[in-house]
Amino acid sequence: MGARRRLLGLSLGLAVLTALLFYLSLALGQVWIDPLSLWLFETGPSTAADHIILTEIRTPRAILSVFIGGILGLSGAVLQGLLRNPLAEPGLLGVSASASLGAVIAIYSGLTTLFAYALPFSALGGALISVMLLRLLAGRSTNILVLILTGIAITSLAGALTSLTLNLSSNPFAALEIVFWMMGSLTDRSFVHVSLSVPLIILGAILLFSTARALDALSLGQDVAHSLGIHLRRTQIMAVLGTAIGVGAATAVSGAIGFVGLIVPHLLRPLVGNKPGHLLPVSALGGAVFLLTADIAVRILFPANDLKLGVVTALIGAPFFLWLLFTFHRGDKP
Amino acid sequence: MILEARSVLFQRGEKQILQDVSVQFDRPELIGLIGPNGAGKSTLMKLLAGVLPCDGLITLGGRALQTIPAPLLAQHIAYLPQERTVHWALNCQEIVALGRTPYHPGLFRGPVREDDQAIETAMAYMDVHAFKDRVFKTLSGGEQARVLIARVLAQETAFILADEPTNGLDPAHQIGLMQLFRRFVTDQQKIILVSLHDLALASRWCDRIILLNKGSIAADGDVADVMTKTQIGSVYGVSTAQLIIGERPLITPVDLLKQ
Repeated sequence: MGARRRLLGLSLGLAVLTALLFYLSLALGQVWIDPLSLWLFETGPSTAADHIILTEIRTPRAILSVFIGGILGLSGAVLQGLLRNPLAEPGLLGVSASASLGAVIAIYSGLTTLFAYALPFSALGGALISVMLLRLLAGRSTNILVLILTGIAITSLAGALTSLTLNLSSNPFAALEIVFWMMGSLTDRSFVHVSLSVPLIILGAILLFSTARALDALSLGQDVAHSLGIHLRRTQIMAVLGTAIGVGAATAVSGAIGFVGLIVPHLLRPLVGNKPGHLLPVSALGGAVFLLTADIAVRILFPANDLKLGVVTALIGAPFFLWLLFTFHRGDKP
Repeated sequence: MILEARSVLFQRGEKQILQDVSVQFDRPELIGLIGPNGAGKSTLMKLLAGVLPCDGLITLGGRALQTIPAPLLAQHIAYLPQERTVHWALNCQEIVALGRTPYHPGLFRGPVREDDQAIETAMAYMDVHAFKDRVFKTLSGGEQARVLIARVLAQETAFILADEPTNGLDPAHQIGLMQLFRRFVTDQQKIILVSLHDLALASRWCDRIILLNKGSIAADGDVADVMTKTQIGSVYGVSTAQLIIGERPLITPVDLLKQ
Protein backbone atom coordinates (compact mmCIF):
# COMPACT_ATOMS: atom_id res chain seq x y z
CA MET A 1 0.00 0.00 0.00
CA GLY A 2 1.23 3.50 -0.84
CA ALA A 3 0.87 4.92 2.65
CA ARG A 4 2.96 2.18 4.22
CA ARG A 5 5.74 2.55 1.70
CA ARG A 6 5.74 6.31 2.20
CA LEU A 7 5.96 5.82 5.95
CA LEU A 8 8.89 3.46 5.58
CA GLY A 9 10.67 5.76 3.15
CA LEU A 10 10.22 8.79 5.34
CA SER A 11 11.34 6.90 8.45
CA LEU A 12 14.46 5.69 6.67
CA GLY A 13 15.21 9.19 5.38
CA LEU A 14 14.82 10.71 8.83
CA ALA A 15 16.94 7.95 10.40
CA VAL A 16 19.77 8.65 7.94
CA LEU A 17 19.42 12.38 8.60
CA THR A 18 19.55 11.75 12.35
CA ALA A 19 22.77 9.73 11.92
CA LEU A 20 24.33 12.46 9.77
CA LEU A 21 23.39 15.21 12.21
CA PHE A 22 24.63 13.11 15.12
CA TYR A 23 27.99 12.88 13.39
CA LEU A 24 28.00 16.62 12.70
CA SER A 25 27.04 17.30 16.30
CA LEU A 26 30.16 15.41 17.38
CA ALA A 27 32.39 17.12 14.85
CA LEU A 28 31.25 20.75 15.14
CA GLY A 29 32.05 23.23 17.87
CA GLN A 30 34.83 25.59 18.88
CA VAL A 31 37.23 23.16 17.20
CA TRP A 32 36.48 20.81 14.34
CA ILE A 33 37.06 17.22 15.35
CA ASP A 34 36.52 14.40 12.92
CA PRO A 35 35.29 11.63 15.20
CA LEU A 36 35.85 8.81 12.76
CA SER A 37 39.46 9.56 11.92
CA LEU A 38 40.15 10.31 15.58
CA TRP A 39 38.80 7.00 16.77
CA LEU A 40 40.16 4.95 13.90
CA PHE A 41 43.59 6.33 13.11
CA GLU A 42 45.01 8.74 15.61
CA THR A 43 46.31 8.19 19.04
CA GLY A 44 48.90 10.03 21.06
CA PRO A 45 49.31 13.14 23.19
CA SER A 46 48.38 15.64 20.46
CA THR A 47 44.87 14.24 20.24
CA ALA A 48 44.26 13.70 23.94
CA ALA A 49 42.35 16.98 24.30
CA ASP A 50 40.26 16.14 21.27
CA HIS A 51 39.43 12.79 22.82
CA ILE A 52 38.26 14.44 26.01
CA ILE A 53 36.17 17.02 24.16
CA LEU A 54 34.62 14.33 22.06
CA THR A 55 33.81 11.77 24.72
CA GLU A 56 33.15 13.98 27.74
CA ILE A 57 31.42 16.95 26.16
CA ARG A 58 30.07 16.36 22.71
CA THR A 59 28.96 12.73 22.86
CA PRO A 60 26.60 13.11 25.82
CA ARG A 61 25.24 16.30 24.27
CA ALA A 62 24.53 14.59 20.95
CA ILE A 63 22.96 11.57 22.66
CA LEU A 64 20.73 13.80 24.75
CA SER A 65 19.70 15.79 21.65
CA VAL A 66 18.55 12.60 19.97
CA PHE A 67 16.62 11.22 22.94
CA ILE A 68 15.14 14.47 24.20
CA GLY A 69 14.18 15.65 20.72
CA GLY A 70 12.73 12.23 20.03
CA ILE A 71 10.59 12.04 23.16
CA LEU A 72 9.34 15.61 22.70
CA GLY A 73 8.31 14.94 19.08
CA LEU A 74 6.76 11.60 20.01
CA SER A 75 4.79 12.89 22.98
CA GLY A 76 3.52 15.80 20.87
CA ALA A 77 2.25 13.34 18.26
CA VAL A 78 0.61 11.13 20.92
CA LEU A 79 -1.05 14.04 22.75
CA GLN A 80 -2.36 15.42 19.47
CA GLY A 81 -3.82 12.04 18.59
CA LEU A 82 -5.26 11.45 22.04
CA LEU A 83 -6.88 14.87 22.33
CA ARG A 84 -7.64 14.88 18.58
CA ASN A 85 -6.25 18.34 18.48
CA PRO A 86 -3.30 19.56 16.39
CA LEU A 87 -2.38 22.21 18.97
CA ALA A 88 -1.60 19.80 21.79
CA GLU A 89 2.02 19.73 22.88
CA PRO A 90 3.70 18.92 26.19
CA GLY A 91 5.18 22.43 26.49
CA LEU A 92 2.02 24.26 25.53
CA LEU A 93 -0.05 22.16 27.90
CA GLY A 94 2.09 22.97 30.90
CA VAL A 95 3.86 19.61 31.16
CA SER A 96 7.32 21.07 30.67
CA ALA A 97 6.71 23.98 33.05
CA SER A 98 5.41 21.60 35.71
CA ALA A 99 8.38 19.29 35.22
CA SER A 100 10.67 22.32 35.64
CA LEU A 101 8.86 23.20 38.83
CA GLY A 102 9.38 19.69 40.12
CA ALA A 103 13.07 19.88 39.25
CA VAL A 104 13.51 23.30 40.86
CA ILE A 105 11.86 22.12 44.06
CA ALA A 106 14.16 19.09 44.11
CA ILE A 107 17.23 21.30 43.70
CA TYR A 108 16.18 23.80 46.34
CA SER A 109 15.03 21.34 48.90
CA GLY A 110 18.45 19.74 48.69
CA LEU A 111 16.98 16.42 47.67
CA THR A 112 19.32 16.22 44.70
CA THR A 113 22.38 16.18 46.94
CA LEU A 114 20.97 13.24 48.85
CA PHE A 115 19.88 11.15 45.93
CA ALA A 116 20.84 11.59 42.27
CA TYR A 117 17.53 10.37 40.87
CA ALA A 118 15.60 12.94 42.92
CA LEU A 119 15.87 15.41 40.02
CA PRO A 120 14.29 13.29 37.28
CA PHE A 121 11.77 11.75 39.66
CA SER A 122 10.53 15.03 40.99
CA ALA A 123 10.43 16.52 37.46
CA LEU A 124 8.42 13.47 36.51
CA GLY A 125 6.08 14.02 39.46
CA GLY A 126 5.50 17.60 38.33
CA ALA A 127 4.79 16.44 34.80
CA LEU A 128 2.40 13.75 36.05
CA ILE A 129 0.41 16.18 38.16
CA SER A 130 0.07 18.61 35.26
CA VAL A 131 -1.17 15.98 32.84
CA MET A 132 -3.69 14.76 35.40
CA LEU A 133 -4.88 18.32 35.98
CA LEU A 134 -5.20 18.78 32.26
CA ARG A 135 -7.27 15.63 31.87
CA LEU A 136 -9.43 16.66 34.78
CA LEU A 137 -10.08 20.17 33.53
CA ALA A 138 -10.13 19.83 29.78
CA GLY A 139 -10.25 16.10 29.13
CA ARG A 140 -13.98 15.90 28.46
CA SER A 141 -14.20 19.06 26.46
CA THR A 142 -13.75 18.96 22.72
CA ASN A 143 -13.28 22.70 22.69
CA ILE A 144 -9.77 23.67 21.65
CA LEU A 145 -9.95 26.91 23.55
CA VAL A 146 -10.65 25.15 26.85
CA LEU A 147 -7.62 22.95 26.31
CA ILE A 148 -5.27 25.79 25.44
CA LEU A 149 -6.53 27.94 28.30
CA THR A 150 -6.12 25.08 30.73
CA GLY A 151 -2.57 24.63 29.47
CA ILE A 152 -1.90 28.33 29.94
CA ALA A 153 -3.35 28.22 33.44
CA ILE A 154 -1.21 25.23 34.42
CA THR A 155 1.87 26.84 32.89
CA SER A 156 1.19 30.07 34.79
CA LEU A 157 0.62 28.25 38.04
CA ALA A 158 3.80 26.21 37.64
CA GLY A 159 5.64 29.42 36.68
CA ALA A 160 4.32 31.24 39.72
CA LEU A 161 5.31 28.43 42.05
CA THR A 162 8.74 28.28 40.42
CA SER A 163 9.13 32.03 40.98
CA LEU A 164 8.05 31.58 44.57
CA THR A 165 10.70 28.91 45.06
CA LEU A 166 13.32 31.22 43.52
CA ASN A 167 12.04 34.11 45.58
CA LEU A 168 12.43 32.19 48.79
CA SER A 169 15.93 31.07 47.91
CA SER A 170 18.59 32.68 50.07
CA ASN A 171 21.35 32.36 47.52
CA PRO A 172 21.04 34.77 44.54
CA PHE A 173 23.72 32.99 42.52
CA ALA A 174 21.94 29.68 42.79
CA ALA A 175 18.75 31.44 41.74
CA LEU A 176 20.47 32.85 38.66
CA GLU A 177 21.86 29.47 37.81
CA ILE A 178 18.40 27.94 38.03
CA VAL A 179 16.95 30.62 35.79
CA PHE A 180 19.52 29.82 33.13
CA TRP A 181 18.94 26.13 33.61
CA MET A 182 15.23 26.59 33.06
CA MET A 183 15.78 28.23 29.68
CA GLY A 184 16.60 24.81 28.37
CA SER A 185 20.03 23.79 27.20
CA LEU A 186 22.24 20.80 26.51
CA THR A 187 25.52 22.57 27.19
CA ASP A 188 27.91 20.89 29.63
CA ARG A 189 25.82 17.81 30.12
CA SER A 190 27.72 14.65 31.00
CA PHE A 191 27.15 10.93 30.88
CA VAL A 192 25.62 11.23 34.35
CA HIS A 193 22.78 13.15 32.73
CA VAL A 194 22.55 10.57 29.99
CA SER A 195 22.27 7.74 32.49
CA LEU A 196 19.71 9.69 34.54
CA SER A 197 17.38 10.44 31.68
CA VAL A 198 17.79 8.02 28.81
CA PRO A 199 16.39 4.90 30.55
CA LEU A 200 13.31 6.84 31.64
CA ILE A 201 12.93 8.40 28.21
CA ILE A 202 13.03 4.93 26.65
CA LEU A 203 10.41 3.70 29.13
CA GLY A 204 8.20 6.69 28.33
CA ALA A 205 8.65 6.09 24.60
CA ILE A 206 7.59 2.43 24.95
CA LEU A 207 4.40 3.50 26.74
CA LEU A 208 3.72 6.15 24.12
CA PHE A 209 4.31 3.82 21.17
CA SER A 210 1.86 1.29 22.66
CA THR A 211 -0.99 3.73 21.98
CA ALA A 212 -0.52 3.77 18.18
CA ARG A 213 -3.44 1.51 17.18
CA ALA A 214 -5.77 3.14 19.70
CA LEU A 215 -4.92 6.61 18.35
CA ASP A 216 -5.84 5.46 14.84
CA ALA A 217 -9.21 4.20 16.08
CA LEU A 218 -9.75 7.40 18.06
CA SER A 219 -9.83 9.28 14.74
CA LEU A 220 -13.44 8.09 14.53
CA GLY A 221 -14.33 9.43 17.99
CA GLN A 222 -14.37 7.84 21.43
CA ASP A 223 -17.56 5.81 21.02
CA VAL A 224 -16.45 4.18 17.80
CA ALA A 225 -12.96 3.54 19.16
CA HIS A 226 -14.59 1.83 22.13
CA SER A 227 -16.81 -0.24 19.84
CA LEU A 228 -13.71 -1.27 17.87
CA GLY A 229 -12.32 -2.91 20.99
CA ILE A 230 -10.04 -0.12 22.20
CA HIS A 231 -9.55 0.28 25.96
CA LEU A 232 -9.90 4.04 26.24
CA ARG A 233 -8.81 4.24 29.85
CA ARG A 234 -5.74 2.13 29.24
CA THR A 235 -4.84 4.26 26.24
CA GLN A 236 -5.19 7.45 28.24
CA ILE A 237 -3.10 6.08 31.09
CA MET A 238 -0.35 4.96 28.69
CA ALA A 239 -0.30 8.35 26.95
CA VAL A 240 -0.37 10.34 30.19
CA LEU A 241 2.21 8.21 31.98
CA GLY A 242 4.42 8.00 28.91
CA THR A 243 4.38 11.76 28.46
CA ALA A 244 4.99 12.44 32.13
CA ILE A 245 7.85 9.93 32.43
CA GLY A 246 9.49 10.76 29.10
CA VAL A 247 9.08 14.53 29.07
CA GLY A 248 9.66 14.71 32.83
CA ALA A 249 13.00 12.90 32.46
CA ALA A 250 13.95 15.03 29.46
CA THR A 251 13.10 18.27 31.23
CA ALA A 252 15.01 17.14 34.29
CA VAL A 253 18.31 17.21 32.40
CA SER A 254 17.71 19.84 29.73
CA GLY A 255 15.30 22.32 31.28
CA ALA A 256 12.18 23.28 29.38
CA ILE A 257 12.55 22.96 25.62
CA GLY A 258 9.28 23.94 24.07
CA PHE A 259 7.42 23.63 20.78
CA VAL A 260 9.29 20.60 19.41
CA GLY A 261 6.20 18.47 20.01
CA LEU A 262 4.03 21.03 18.25
CA ILE A 263 6.11 21.72 15.16
CA VAL A 264 7.44 18.28 14.30
CA PRO A 265 4.18 16.27 14.10
CA HIS A 266 2.53 19.14 12.32
CA LEU A 267 5.13 19.26 9.56
CA LEU A 268 5.20 15.49 9.14
CA ARG A 269 1.44 14.82 9.28
CA PRO A 270 0.72 15.57 5.60
CA LEU A 271 3.69 13.44 4.54
CA VAL A 272 2.53 10.23 6.20
CA GLY A 273 -1.15 10.45 5.35
CA ASN A 274 -2.60 11.79 8.58
CA LYS A 275 -3.03 8.50 10.43
CA PRO A 276 -2.08 9.31 14.03
CA GLY A 277 -0.36 5.95 14.56
CA HIS A 278 1.81 6.42 11.48
CA LEU A 279 2.88 9.77 12.83
CA LEU A 280 4.52 8.35 15.96
CA PRO A 281 7.77 6.84 14.63
CA VAL A 282 8.42 9.69 12.22
CA SER A 283 7.68 12.30 14.89
CA ALA A 284 10.23 10.68 17.20
CA LEU A 285 12.86 10.74 14.44
CA GLY A 286 11.79 14.20 13.33
CA GLY A 287 12.10 15.49 16.90
CA ALA A 288 15.65 14.13 17.07
CA VAL A 289 16.51 15.80 13.74
CA PHE A 290 14.97 19.09 14.88
CA LEU A 291 16.76 19.24 18.20
CA LEU A 292 20.12 18.13 16.78
CA THR A 293 19.81 20.85 14.14
CA ALA A 294 18.82 23.50 16.68
CA ASP A 295 21.64 22.49 19.00
CA ILE A 296 24.19 22.61 16.18
CA ALA A 297 22.82 25.99 15.06
CA VAL A 298 23.19 27.37 18.58
CA ARG A 299 26.85 26.37 18.61
CA ILE A 300 27.70 27.57 15.11
CA LEU A 301 25.75 30.82 14.90
CA PHE A 302 26.37 32.19 18.37
CA PRO A 303 29.48 30.49 19.72
CA ALA A 304 30.31 33.31 22.13
CA ASN A 305 26.90 34.10 23.56
CA ASP A 306 25.94 30.69 24.91
CA LEU A 307 22.48 31.05 23.44
CA LYS A 308 20.12 28.62 25.16
CA LEU A 309 18.54 25.86 23.14
CA GLY A 310 15.11 26.39 24.70
CA VAL A 311 15.26 30.03 23.65
CA VAL A 312 15.92 29.04 20.04
CA THR A 313 13.12 26.46 19.88
CA ALA A 314 10.74 29.00 21.40
CA LEU A 315 11.87 31.64 18.87
CA ILE A 316 11.05 29.22 16.05
CA GLY A 317 8.04 27.66 17.74
CA ALA A 318 6.07 30.63 18.97
CA PRO A 319 5.74 32.31 15.54
CA PHE A 320 4.93 28.90 14.09
CA PHE A 321 2.19 28.53 16.69
CA LEU A 322 0.85 31.98 15.79
CA TRP A 323 0.82 31.03 12.13
CA LEU A 324 -1.03 27.81 13.00
CA LEU A 325 -3.67 29.77 14.88
CA PHE A 326 -4.02 32.14 11.95
CA THR A 327 -4.59 29.34 9.45
CA PHE A 328 -6.77 27.41 11.83
CA HIS A 329 -10.16 28.13 10.35
CA ARG A 330 -13.15 26.41 11.73
CA GLY A 331 -13.58 24.54 8.47
CA ASP A 332 -10.06 23.11 8.61
CA LYS A 333 -10.63 21.72 12.07
CA PRO A 334 -9.48 18.12 11.99
CA MET B 1 -25.61 -15.96 19.36
CA ILE B 2 -28.11 -14.07 21.49
CA LEU B 3 -27.85 -10.42 22.51
CA GLU B 4 -30.14 -9.72 25.41
CA ALA B 5 -30.94 -6.80 27.69
CA ARG B 6 -32.72 -7.53 30.95
CA SER B 7 -34.32 -4.78 33.03
CA VAL B 8 -31.84 -2.18 31.87
CA LEU B 9 -31.85 1.20 33.60
CA PHE B 10 -29.89 4.24 32.60
CA GLN B 11 -29.67 7.52 34.35
CA ARG B 12 -27.84 10.71 33.45
CA GLY B 13 -27.70 13.07 36.37
CA GLU B 14 -31.23 13.33 37.71
CA LYS B 15 -32.76 12.30 34.44
CA GLN B 16 -33.96 8.75 33.96
CA ILE B 17 -33.20 7.98 30.33
CA LEU B 18 -34.09 4.31 30.16
CA GLN B 19 -36.16 2.30 32.60
CA ASP B 20 -36.74 -1.42 32.77
CA VAL B 21 -35.85 -2.11 29.15
CA SER B 22 -35.82 -5.80 28.30
CA VAL B 23 -35.21 -6.89 24.74
CA GLN B 24 -33.78 -9.88 22.95
CA PHE B 25 -32.13 -10.40 19.56
CA ASP B 26 -31.72 -14.04 18.67
CA ARG B 27 -32.40 -14.56 14.96
CA PRO B 28 -31.32 -12.91 11.72
CA GLU B 29 -33.65 -10.00 11.17
CA LEU B 30 -33.71 -6.31 10.39
CA ILE B 31 -35.06 -4.51 13.43
CA GLY B 32 -36.22 -0.91 13.36
CA LEU B 33 -35.87 1.06 16.58
CA ILE B 34 -38.33 3.94 16.46
CA GLY B 35 -39.57 6.54 18.91
CA PRO B 36 -39.80 10.31 19.29
CA ASN B 37 -36.82 12.57 20.03
CA GLY B 38 -35.48 11.91 23.51
CA ALA B 39 -37.09 8.48 23.76
CA GLY B 40 -33.69 6.92 24.49
CA LYS B 41 -32.92 5.28 21.16
CA SER B 42 -29.29 6.39 20.96
CA THR B 43 -28.67 5.51 24.60
CA LEU B 44 -30.11 2.02 24.13
CA MET B 45 -27.90 1.55 21.06
CA LYS B 46 -24.80 2.56 23.01
CA LEU B 47 -25.68 0.26 25.88
CA LEU B 48 -26.24 -2.69 23.55
CA ALA B 49 -22.94 -1.93 21.81
CA GLY B 50 -21.15 -1.94 25.16
CA VAL B 51 -20.05 1.66 24.66
CA LEU B 52 -21.88 2.81 27.80
CA PRO B 53 -21.93 0.83 31.05
CA CYS B 54 -25.36 0.28 32.58
CA ASP B 55 -27.35 -0.98 35.52
CA GLY B 56 -29.16 -4.17 34.73
CA LEU B 57 -27.76 -6.85 32.56
CA ILE B 58 -26.83 -6.97 28.91
CA THR B 59 -25.48 -10.31 27.77
CA LEU B 60 -24.03 -11.66 24.55
CA GLY B 61 -24.20 -15.45 24.32
CA GLY B 62 -24.98 -15.55 28.03
CA ARG B 63 -21.94 -13.49 29.07
CA ALA B 64 -22.29 -9.99 30.50
CA LEU B 65 -20.85 -7.48 28.01
CA GLN B 66 -18.49 -6.02 30.61
CA THR B 67 -16.81 -9.42 31.13
CA ILE B 68 -16.08 -9.94 27.43
CA PRO B 69 -12.64 -8.68 26.34
CA ALA B 70 -13.19 -5.54 24.28
CA PRO B 71 -11.55 -6.76 21.04
CA LEU B 72 -13.56 -10.00 21.19
CA LEU B 73 -16.79 -8.09 21.71
CA ALA B 74 -15.87 -5.88 18.77
CA GLN B 75 -15.62 -8.97 16.58
CA HIS B 76 -19.32 -9.64 17.30
CA ILE B 77 -20.97 -6.24 17.59
CA ALA B 78 -20.37 -3.25 15.32
CA TYR B 79 -21.71 0.17 16.21
CA LEU B 80 -22.34 3.13 13.94
CA PRO B 81 -23.05 6.36 15.82
CA GLN B 82 -25.26 9.11 14.58
CA GLU B 83 -22.51 11.72 14.32
CA ARG B 84 -20.17 11.43 11.38
CA THR B 85 -17.02 12.18 13.31
CA VAL B 86 -13.69 11.81 11.55
CA HIS B 87 -10.72 13.66 12.98
CA TRP B 88 -7.65 14.36 10.85
CA ALA B 89 -7.63 14.22 7.09
CA LEU B 90 -7.99 10.46 6.74
CA ASN B 91 -8.89 9.10 3.32
CA CYS B 92 -11.80 6.73 2.82
CA GLN B 93 -9.81 3.55 2.50
CA GLU B 94 -8.01 4.29 5.77
CA ILE B 95 -11.35 4.79 7.48
CA VAL B 96 -12.80 1.54 6.17
CA ALA B 97 -9.59 -0.25 7.19
CA LEU B 98 -10.15 0.88 10.79
CA GLY B 99 -13.01 -1.62 10.83
CA ARG B 100 -10.34 -4.32 11.08
CA THR B 101 -8.99 -2.96 14.38
CA PRO B 102 -10.61 -5.67 16.58
CA TYR B 103 -8.69 -8.37 14.71
CA HIS B 104 -5.33 -6.81 15.57
CA PRO B 105 -5.32 -6.11 19.29
CA GLY B 106 -1.50 -6.41 19.45
CA LEU B 107 0.82 -3.67 18.35
CA PHE B 108 2.93 -5.46 15.79
CA ARG B 109 0.72 -7.77 13.77
CA GLY B 110 0.11 -5.98 10.53
CA PRO B 111 -2.83 -6.39 8.15
CA VAL B 112 -3.22 -9.78 6.48
CA ARG B 113 -4.97 -10.93 3.31
CA GLU B 114 -8.36 -11.42 5.03
CA ASP B 115 -8.23 -7.78 6.07
CA ASP B 116 -7.60 -6.54 2.55
CA GLN B 117 -10.40 -8.79 1.33
CA ALA B 118 -12.87 -7.59 3.97
CA ILE B 119 -12.01 -3.96 3.20
CA GLU B 120 -12.42 -4.50 -0.54
CA THR B 121 -15.76 -6.30 -0.10
CA ALA B 122 -17.10 -3.63 2.24
CA MET B 123 -16.11 -0.86 -0.15
CA ALA B 124 -17.72 -2.71 -3.04
CA TYR B 125 -20.98 -3.17 -1.10
CA MET B 126 -21.19 0.52 -0.32
CA ASP B 127 -19.96 1.56 -3.75
CA VAL B 128 -17.24 3.82 -2.42
CA HIS B 129 -14.37 2.61 -4.62
CA ALA B 130 -14.55 5.69 -6.80
CA PHE B 131 -13.43 7.95 -3.95
CA LYS B 132 -11.40 5.60 -1.78
CA ASP B 133 -8.31 7.82 -1.97
CA ARG B 134 -10.15 11.04 -1.28
CA VAL B 135 -10.06 12.78 2.07
CA PHE B 136 -13.26 12.16 4.04
CA LYS B 137 -14.01 15.82 4.66
CA THR B 138 -14.13 16.59 0.93
CA LEU B 139 -17.03 14.16 0.33
CA SER B 140 -20.75 14.94 0.27
CA GLY B 141 -22.90 13.95 3.25
CA GLY B 142 -24.23 10.90 1.47
CA GLU B 143 -20.79 9.73 0.43
CA GLN B 144 -19.52 10.20 3.98
CA ALA B 145 -22.37 8.10 5.33
CA ARG B 146 -21.55 5.31 2.90
CA VAL B 147 -17.88 5.31 3.85
CA LEU B 148 -18.70 5.04 7.55
CA ILE B 149 -21.13 2.18 6.88
CA ALA B 150 -18.41 0.44 4.86
CA ARG B 151 -16.22 0.69 7.97
CA VAL B 152 -18.92 -1.15 9.92
CA LEU B 153 -19.20 -3.83 7.24
CA ALA B 154 -15.42 -4.35 7.22
CA GLN B 155 -15.71 -5.24 10.90
CA GLU B 156 -17.56 -8.42 9.80
CA THR B 157 -19.73 -8.80 12.88
CA ALA B 158 -22.89 -10.83 13.45
CA PHE B 159 -24.59 -7.80 15.00
CA ILE B 160 -24.76 -4.32 13.49
CA LEU B 161 -26.20 -1.49 15.57
CA ALA B 162 -26.67 1.61 13.43
CA ASP B 163 -27.97 4.87 14.86
CA GLU B 164 -29.95 6.72 12.20
CA PRO B 165 -27.79 5.54 9.31
CA THR B 166 -30.20 6.98 6.71
CA ASN B 167 -29.87 10.48 8.09
CA GLY B 168 -28.82 12.89 5.35
CA LEU B 169 -29.15 10.35 2.54
CA ASP B 170 -31.31 10.97 -0.50
CA PRO B 171 -34.27 8.59 -1.04
CA ALA B 172 -32.37 6.38 -3.48
CA HIS B 173 -29.52 5.89 -1.03
CA GLN B 174 -31.92 5.44 1.90
CA ILE B 175 -33.73 2.64 0.10
CA GLY B 176 -30.45 1.26 -1.21
CA LEU B 177 -29.12 1.06 2.34
CA MET B 178 -32.23 -0.62 3.73
CA GLN B 179 -32.15 -3.14 0.87
CA LEU B 180 -28.51 -3.80 1.57
CA PHE B 181 -29.27 -4.43 5.25
CA ARG B 182 -32.02 -6.83 4.15
CA ARG B 183 -29.52 -8.66 1.98
CA PHE B 184 -27.14 -9.01 4.90
CA VAL B 185 -29.93 -10.47 6.98
CA THR B 186 -30.94 -13.07 4.38
CA ASP B 187 -27.53 -13.85 2.83
CA GLN B 188 -25.23 -13.54 5.84
CA GLN B 189 -27.62 -14.19 8.73
CA LYS B 190 -26.76 -10.89 10.38
CA ILE B 191 -28.85 -9.27 13.10
CA ILE B 192 -29.20 -5.59 12.31
CA LEU B 193 -30.74 -2.98 14.57
CA VAL B 194 -31.30 0.46 13.02
CA SER B 195 -32.84 3.45 14.69
CA LEU B 196 -35.00 5.42 12.31
CA HIS B 197 -37.05 8.58 12.31
CA ASP B 198 -38.63 7.77 8.98
CA LEU B 199 -41.70 5.66 9.77
CA ALA B 200 -42.23 4.83 6.10
CA LEU B 201 -38.74 3.36 5.77
CA ALA B 202 -39.15 1.45 9.02
CA SER B 203 -42.49 -0.04 8.06
CA ARG B 204 -41.45 -0.91 4.54
CA TRP B 205 -38.12 -2.63 5.22
CA CYS B 206 -37.96 -3.91 8.79
CA ASP B 207 -38.95 -7.40 9.98
CA ARG B 208 -39.55 -6.19 13.46
CA ILE B 209 -40.18 -2.85 15.11
CA ILE B 210 -39.28 -1.76 18.62
CA LEU B 211 -41.20 1.34 19.66
CA LEU B 212 -39.49 3.28 22.41
CA ASN B 213 -41.32 5.96 24.38
CA LYS B 214 -39.96 7.99 27.30
CA GLY B 215 -37.29 5.43 28.08
CA SER B 216 -39.50 2.34 28.00
CA ILE B 217 -40.45 -0.12 25.34
CA ALA B 218 -44.03 0.68 24.29
CA ALA B 219 -44.27 -2.17 21.81
CA ASP B 220 -42.03 -4.79 20.21
CA GLY B 221 -43.09 -7.06 17.35
CA ASP B 222 -44.26 -7.19 13.74
CA VAL B 223 -44.75 -3.98 11.81
CA ALA B 224 -48.51 -4.56 11.71
CA ASP B 225 -48.71 -5.17 15.46
CA VAL B 226 -46.54 -2.27 16.56
CA MET B 227 -47.20 0.51 14.09
CA THR B 228 -50.95 0.72 14.60
CA LYS B 229 -52.82 3.99 14.25
CA THR B 230 -53.49 4.20 17.98
CA GLN B 231 -49.98 3.21 19.04
CA ILE B 232 -48.19 5.65 16.73
CA GLY B 233 -50.83 8.26 17.55
CA SER B 234 -50.33 8.05 21.28
CA VAL B 235 -46.53 7.94 21.17
CA TYR B 236 -45.81 10.46 18.39
CA GLY B 237 -49.02 12.51 18.48
CA VAL B 238 -49.53 12.15 14.73
CA SER B 239 -52.13 10.51 12.55
CA THR B 240 -50.95 7.97 9.99
CA ALA B 241 -51.98 6.65 6.62
CA GLN B 242 -51.33 3.11 5.51
CA LEU B 243 -50.69 1.62 2.09
CA ILE B 244 -50.25 -2.04 1.33
CA ILE B 245 -47.43 -2.60 -1.14
CA GLY B 246 -46.99 -6.23 -2.07
CA GLU B 247 -47.63 -8.03 1.17
CA ARG B 248 -46.19 -5.32 3.34
CA PRO B 249 -47.71 -2.27 4.96
CA LEU B 250 -46.21 1.18 4.41
CA ILE B 251 -47.04 3.62 7.14
CA THR B 252 -46.48 7.32 6.90
CA PRO B 253 -47.35 10.19 9.25
CA VAL B 254 -49.94 12.60 7.91
CA ASP B 255 -50.95 15.25 10.43
CA LEU B 256 -50.64 16.34 14.02
CA LEU B 257 -53.32 14.90 16.25
CA LYS B 258 -55.50 17.47 17.96
CA GLN B 259 -55.31 16.95 21.68
